[in-house]
Amino acid sequence: MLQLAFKNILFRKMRTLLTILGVASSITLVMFMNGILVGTEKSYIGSFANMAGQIRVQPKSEALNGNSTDTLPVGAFLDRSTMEKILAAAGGTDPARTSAVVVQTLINSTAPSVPAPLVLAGVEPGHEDAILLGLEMAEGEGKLTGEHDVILGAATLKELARQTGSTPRVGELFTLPSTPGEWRLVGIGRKRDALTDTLAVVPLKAAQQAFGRGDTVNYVTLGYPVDGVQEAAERLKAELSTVDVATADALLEAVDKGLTAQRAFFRMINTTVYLTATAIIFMVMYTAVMERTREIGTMRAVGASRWTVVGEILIEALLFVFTGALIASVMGWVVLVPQWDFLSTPEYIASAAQTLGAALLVALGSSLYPAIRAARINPLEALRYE
Amino acid sequence: MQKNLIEARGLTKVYKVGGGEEVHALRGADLTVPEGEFAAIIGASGSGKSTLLHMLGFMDRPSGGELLFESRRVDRLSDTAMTRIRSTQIGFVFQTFNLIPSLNAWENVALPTRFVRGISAREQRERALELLEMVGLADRANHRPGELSGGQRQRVAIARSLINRPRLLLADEPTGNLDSTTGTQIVELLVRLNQAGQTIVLVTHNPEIAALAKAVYRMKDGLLRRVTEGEFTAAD
Repeated sequence: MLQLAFKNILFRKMRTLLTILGVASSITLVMFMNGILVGTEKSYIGSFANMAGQIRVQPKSEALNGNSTDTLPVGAFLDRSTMEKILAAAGGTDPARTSAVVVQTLINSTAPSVPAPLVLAGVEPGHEDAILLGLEMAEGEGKLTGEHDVILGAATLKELARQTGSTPRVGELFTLPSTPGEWRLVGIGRKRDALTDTLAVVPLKAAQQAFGRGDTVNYVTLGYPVDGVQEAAERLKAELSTVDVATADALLEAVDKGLTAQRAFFRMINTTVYLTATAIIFMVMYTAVMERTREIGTMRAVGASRWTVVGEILIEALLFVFTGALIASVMGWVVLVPQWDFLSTPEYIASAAQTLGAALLVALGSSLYPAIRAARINPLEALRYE
Repeated sequence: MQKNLIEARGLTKVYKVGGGEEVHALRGADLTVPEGEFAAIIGASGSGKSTLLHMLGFMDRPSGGELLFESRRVDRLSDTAMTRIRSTQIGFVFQTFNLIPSLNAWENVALPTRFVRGISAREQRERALELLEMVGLADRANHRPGELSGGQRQRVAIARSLINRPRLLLADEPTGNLDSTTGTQIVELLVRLNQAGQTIVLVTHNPEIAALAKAVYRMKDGLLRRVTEGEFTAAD
């Protein structure tokens, strides 16, 4: 049956080509969107997992309410006295993981809910781990000793190369987009998660000067032992009523809520694509059955059972979709994985395999009626069919 | 004594057409085909000869009467059982060849073997090529039907009908779409097959072809009658 279906598909080249093209474009769209969703979810989950034990204290207006996934509190500032109040109330923190932080998005994200590809973060020298959160260095040091030192995340380095056409090396001076002056690269982080991979970490003062922030910061991050973080958060919430106190868990929960709208949107698009694909495959297979009535009649006359006919039509539809899906998988990978750092090839393959499974179900569902109709063809009537 | 391969006893076929009108395509046909027979059914268009042939080939069910295959009653078999018998015991040759355009000649010949279990791909190909050799088309094995002449297509169709070594070969106007020279070649091929022991029932409206058969039946208005030697000549 498989061979017959193959022969048939190859014989009607134009129909095959157009059907596979239609199927491949639809599935590419689904694979692309699912890849974005999987990558976004994974990058946020990974990021917040690495933040375990951290508490972020930020202006109330920057509190995440589940309407957005923009986790960086770039829009409002904490003044010096508030910052001092926070540090005084903190108590029991790990100094290396505690710092006031200035953040500024240097390159905005290209799609909703996707992390910005380049974010400048100013942190107090000696407290780099407050923002790097144990990130290992692929090259150089994770310490800021000079006034204009910078540590770059793995994705940041790639983004800079994309923007400027050159890749800075450790020890070299270079410029950052939308930022005055030159910076000396002291370390490059290993690829890990969306929040740290997109950072350009500089000394706090340099960041404040570069963006005219005076003494203000965007938030204070406090490092606690993981098992004491919840209690500390409760205590801080009680003591600091004018600011928002958020643990990694709370941030993740808010981001997860923020992704709900995106998931619903993607689901709606996916459903539309699958329905369209169902209609296309149905029409193609139904027309094929009508066109080949005589052929099917001949097959039945020379001994093909009804099941053989059903099988042949289903296999043909599955071959269309499988070939289309294979092309779509490659196209989706080319469009997504090399261009976007938050989705690895294995994650893409896992997501694509799910899409492929759904597509094959669509193929079965949409070709079942034409297949049954083909099986019901009376060989005698079919042989008289003109 | 030769065993009867297929027997029709009082077969009738009634079609219901628009307005509840009934068309009696067969009005009680009796026919006995012993093994090794070459029977021809002759008659004008619409006389019911093809209807009878389709019943003998398990492609249609009679409205009444009995059909026996190797003395077993088969007219009430399930669709699956009829398909099984059709695939292993019956070979069909059609007037319009009915080859599959996407398959080449040997693949068309091998087609019925795909519907029978236990025949390896290698054996399918070997049998098909052997039959194409027999019908003189070994050099056209890889040609698609569109690249063959009418006579060549019909020879491919005959090879196809023989691939599962059927007990009974049914030919429905096998020369109807061919010129007279090619038609003669096809009939000669059928005669040779019969001489080799193949049981054949042929439907034709051409008396010259029918004259080559061992037994001739005439179908008129749904009634079948055996024609005796004295009654029938090639000039009929």
